[in-house]
Amino acid sequence: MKTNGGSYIFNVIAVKDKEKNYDHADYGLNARKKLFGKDVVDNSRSMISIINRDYVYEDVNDTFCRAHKNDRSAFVGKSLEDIWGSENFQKKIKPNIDQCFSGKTVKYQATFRIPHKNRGQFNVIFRPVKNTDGSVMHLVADTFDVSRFKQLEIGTGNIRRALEKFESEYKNYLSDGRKSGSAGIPDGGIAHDLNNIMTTIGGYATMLENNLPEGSPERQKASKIIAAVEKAVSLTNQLIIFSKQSKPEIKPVNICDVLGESVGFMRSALPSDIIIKSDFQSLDAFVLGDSTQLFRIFFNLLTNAVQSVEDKGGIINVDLALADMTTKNKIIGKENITGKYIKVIVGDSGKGIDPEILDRVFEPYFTTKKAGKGSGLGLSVVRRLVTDMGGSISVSSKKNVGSSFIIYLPLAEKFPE
Amino acid sequence: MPGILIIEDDPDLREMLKTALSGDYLSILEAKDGKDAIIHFKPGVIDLVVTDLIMPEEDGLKVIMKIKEMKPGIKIIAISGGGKAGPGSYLQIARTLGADAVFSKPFSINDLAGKIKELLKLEQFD
Repeated sequence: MKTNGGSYIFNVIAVKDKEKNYDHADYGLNARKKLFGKDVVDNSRSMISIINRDYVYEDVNDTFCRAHKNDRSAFVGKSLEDIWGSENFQKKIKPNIDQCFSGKTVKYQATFRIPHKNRGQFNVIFRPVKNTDGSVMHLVADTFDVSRFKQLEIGTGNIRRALEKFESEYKNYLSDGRKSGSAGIPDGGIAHDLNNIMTTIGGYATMLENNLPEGSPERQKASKIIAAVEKAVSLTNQLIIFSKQSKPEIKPVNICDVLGESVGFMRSALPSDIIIKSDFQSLDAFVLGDSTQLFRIFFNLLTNAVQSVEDKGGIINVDLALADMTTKNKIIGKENITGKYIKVIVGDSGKGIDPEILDRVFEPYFTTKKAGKGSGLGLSVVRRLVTDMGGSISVSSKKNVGSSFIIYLPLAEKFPE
Repeated sequence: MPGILIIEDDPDLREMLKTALSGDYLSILEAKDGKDAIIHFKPGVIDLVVTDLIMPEEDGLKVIMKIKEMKPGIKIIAISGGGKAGPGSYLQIARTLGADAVFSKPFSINDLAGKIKELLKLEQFD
């Protein structure tokens, strides 16, 4: 029997040859079957080998060689005891092989280490090759590495646990934020925790992506987890910037940029049934203020607008216009303002505000929101920030039609950078 | 086999890093904080340290200094995350103190593994 490297004893199975000198006689006859046998066996995802009654490898497939990082000649003609070690062979392998030589197919799952490789989990099947007289001289061993599937199971389990942790931490944070009045905006502390969790989720997803076959749907799913984690990270970072407790830095700020940014930021978190319309014309309008505080003003108003429509969905209108009030005095809100202003409107198609409480919406700790939803500080802070900038804020509302918040901020001369 | 010590106080993140870096080419040891790391540090076994910077007990920056004292040639990768103001400057200090590489959380484990491979001059690395 030919057993040197390069020959394919597997064909003996494929053609069910009765004769021992099959390798030269039946080439023409069974060429197609041989080719089929070779291709299928070598491209199998299993390590396949043929073992004889002396516990010697008669042949191994390409997958087997690749897994062992060695040539066919390193196995063919070698005893299993030499390759797998005496103890391992006697205790774990031989009993199963002997059972197979008695004519039964043996299946089991085992954890072992391929020499010079990591430990892995394998599904092992020994199938007897029966001769016409029913005797078994060879068996086919089919060993399939299921570590990746196990890893997938563990990986997805870990991701799920990390997500649960994220959820509970965020909930805790929101309720703490409510007490401290920070209105649910993450600070440096929570950001550290969130980043740890994101690193954990992203790490496992990357491991899965690395290990899963290219083009497989599982790999695509792992890539999507990674992309979602990246999104969450950028969101967290924006929130950190937003909540940063730094001293306000007063300088000319392009109001269109900040308003656009806050709208974009809000949009990234919206369900599809809430639409923000912001087709205002881009103006080269500057106000004197702190860009983070301006962002906070707009974000707060947008949050309120979104919450007012979130039950049924709806439209939020954001508009911006120049307002020249040099010609006459106007009373807007409670402030008396004159000069050149920029007017920002944030309107919603939500449930509206009861007329009896409309006057109170800017009061600190006044809230109509359910527990956990708002601190009652948002609009009072907005109002303080707006008046600090020399502006004014007012609200008009109609029950079941919607509310509009109008802010006037004094225009600044454009300063050089 | 090169030895790596992972110092990270978040148990889930620590386990993830251990899983990601485990293999036949590296042996992984872990410590739950800086104090734990310094008590159990074995200069003969550890070739590279991956350490978080902001931790309870011993702070990551002190860990870098102490470990560098115990084994001057050791490679150190500092990782950190958190608020914008903090970690950037932390990572900067870590570099000044002798960290060979710094990573800001969240980072890609492929990048981390690549950096370890580079620092330890590993040819084979799964």
